[in-house]
Amino acid sequence: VAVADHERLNMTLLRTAGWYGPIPYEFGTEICGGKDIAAVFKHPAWSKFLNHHHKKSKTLPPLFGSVSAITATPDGLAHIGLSRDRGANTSQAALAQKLPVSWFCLADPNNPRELLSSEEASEALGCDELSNNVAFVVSPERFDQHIILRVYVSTTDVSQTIQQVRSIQEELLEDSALAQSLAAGKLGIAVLCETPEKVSSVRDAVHRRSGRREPLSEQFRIQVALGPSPETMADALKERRKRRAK
Amino acid sequence: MNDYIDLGIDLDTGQPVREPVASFFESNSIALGRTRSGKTTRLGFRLFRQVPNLDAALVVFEGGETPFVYYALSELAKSSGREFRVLFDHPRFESHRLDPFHQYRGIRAWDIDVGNQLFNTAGIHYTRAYGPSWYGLTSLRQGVRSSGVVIRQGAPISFPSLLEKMEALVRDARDAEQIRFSLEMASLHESIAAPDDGGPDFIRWSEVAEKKQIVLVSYEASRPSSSFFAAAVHQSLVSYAHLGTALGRKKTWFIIIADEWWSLLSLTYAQSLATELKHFLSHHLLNQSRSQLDLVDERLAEIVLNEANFEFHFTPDVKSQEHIQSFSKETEGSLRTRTISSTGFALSDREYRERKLDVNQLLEISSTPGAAILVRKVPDGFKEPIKLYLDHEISEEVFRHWSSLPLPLRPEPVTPPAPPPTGWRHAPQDDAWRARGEAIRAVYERRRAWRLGQ
Repeated sequence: VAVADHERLNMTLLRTAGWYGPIPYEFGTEICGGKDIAAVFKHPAWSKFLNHHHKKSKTLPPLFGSVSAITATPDGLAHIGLSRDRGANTSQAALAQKLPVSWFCLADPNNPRELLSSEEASEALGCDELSNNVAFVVSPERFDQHIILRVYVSTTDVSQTIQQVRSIQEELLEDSALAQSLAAGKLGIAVLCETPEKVSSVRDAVHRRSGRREPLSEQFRIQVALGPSPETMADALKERRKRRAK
Repeated sequence: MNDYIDLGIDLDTGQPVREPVASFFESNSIALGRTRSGKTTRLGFRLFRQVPNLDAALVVFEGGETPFVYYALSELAKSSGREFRVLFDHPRFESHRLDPFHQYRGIRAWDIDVGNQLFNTAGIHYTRAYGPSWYGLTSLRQGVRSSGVVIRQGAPISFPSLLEKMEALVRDARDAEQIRFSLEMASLHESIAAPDDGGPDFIRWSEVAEKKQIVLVSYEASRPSSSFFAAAVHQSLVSYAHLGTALGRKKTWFIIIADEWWSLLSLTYAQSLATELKHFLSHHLLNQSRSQLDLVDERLAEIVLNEANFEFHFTPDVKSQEHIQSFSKETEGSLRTRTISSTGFALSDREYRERKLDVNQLLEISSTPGAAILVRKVPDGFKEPIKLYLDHEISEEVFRHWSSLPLPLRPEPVTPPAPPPTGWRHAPQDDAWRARGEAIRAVYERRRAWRLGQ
């Protein structure tokens, strides 16, 4: 039983790293119930599926700052039925899009969100094909309700962020099924910002009335949350550790 | 139609005191008496009741017991088949409207007429504050200039349009302080601020005269801004009457009964009260005391008493007692004295003169509810003041009932029902909504089960 359990946790680790892209090492530890997972990367069967990027490694250096991270290898991706190329792009630009999403889904164990493929999102929303370069996340809400959030990772200032949110809203309204889900509160927009300060500024802006227009937060569901970039990930993890220690 | 008005009962003879109706209502009268002395309910009501018998319009300015007067006049109008129009100063009450300058419509308006109308509207407050002076006249000049500009531009004359022109014309603030202030204050009252749009809710003096309407102008005498309202309405009527004379229009008597009138007539106007009879305006004024008038101007009481042909004194004070006694004939009497001296008794007679109406009688009248001294200054020979008793013409119950009824309130503006709330927070949670939720949950659980290997 213990071995089977071990295998299941390793598989969960592989699927999480494969599905979300690079994940911080400590997220991996948490996925495996807090156990030391260093042995997984030395295990003959698993070491070919998972990589451990850390500053002491000469072959696998950290991907973002000095933060240790776990990635799935092409063999690992193939093993869980995903494309071998899914993890190939580890550029800073690609990481800047992936990391905030994995943080948004995995950082809060009390609110476990799931990243969807574009096919799953269009199935859930009953709409035509959705673009596969946009992230859709399912978020369990209060009263056992589940909603889908179209993720927007903000890398600009507050006013441009708001402008961008408006244009995403307009884009969603063009599809009648999405417009219906938006009006029903089943679809929303998640704005991920790299620092807590920006989160607070954007949150104020979405709740502010602009002239005669209703605040954005009244027009549709909108969640503004932290989504650290490769540059701010180390600080975000440090803050998270402090908060969890309390 | 009654030929005589029954003014009450002579307390000395027990006989009714009667005056020819036309003679009474084609004169001016004044009644002075404290609250509850019977001015309004006994005398005022008696006067109202006579008017439908006359070929005249009735305009009542009421600054006191409004509900009683409102319902009394309303009943009177119903029973006599006359139209009843009401003008309130307070926006809360259901009111007709009046354009105080409507009498200039359709005729060539003279700016001096408008200026004079403005001057008398403002005059009472100005003389109270400053006394008549050079600035009063410069103020009149500015009123005339502003009126001229408005008239030449062909715009409807109204308080707001005159004020606008005056603001543009006046360089020196003192120059038109008086009139500008009164324009602003009068503009505050909705029922007289707008030009006549020809609507049926507007009171027009020509219609009042033609149909012999009964008009109640209700205002709160103790509220400073309301006196501008009442003065503006009164001066509008005065202006209409004067224009009628100038235009040779067929004349109709306007019987003006003004209760608590002291904040209504300017000194300038009061000085010419008697000559207003030539313009078919008859004033019947009621207020509490001479002192009230002294507060407005120390000469106002004296002037108005001189201009009134009939005076009713319900509760005369010292000044009024002297005034009343001056209309009573003197009687001669003798004082017999007896002196004792060393030579014996000495008897002597000394003559003295006193008024027939002595102070004790006046005090008795003053302390009797419903009793008054009537002074008549009519041209058909000398008449001794009469000790008059005015009995109630309505029962106490009717008076209390009318006084307790609420005045008709203007209906609250109907606010359209709020549109149903929109937005995602108020989305209907119908079957489609629930089905969409289930579809999302299914995808979530499938993806989660795959990732966690469950």
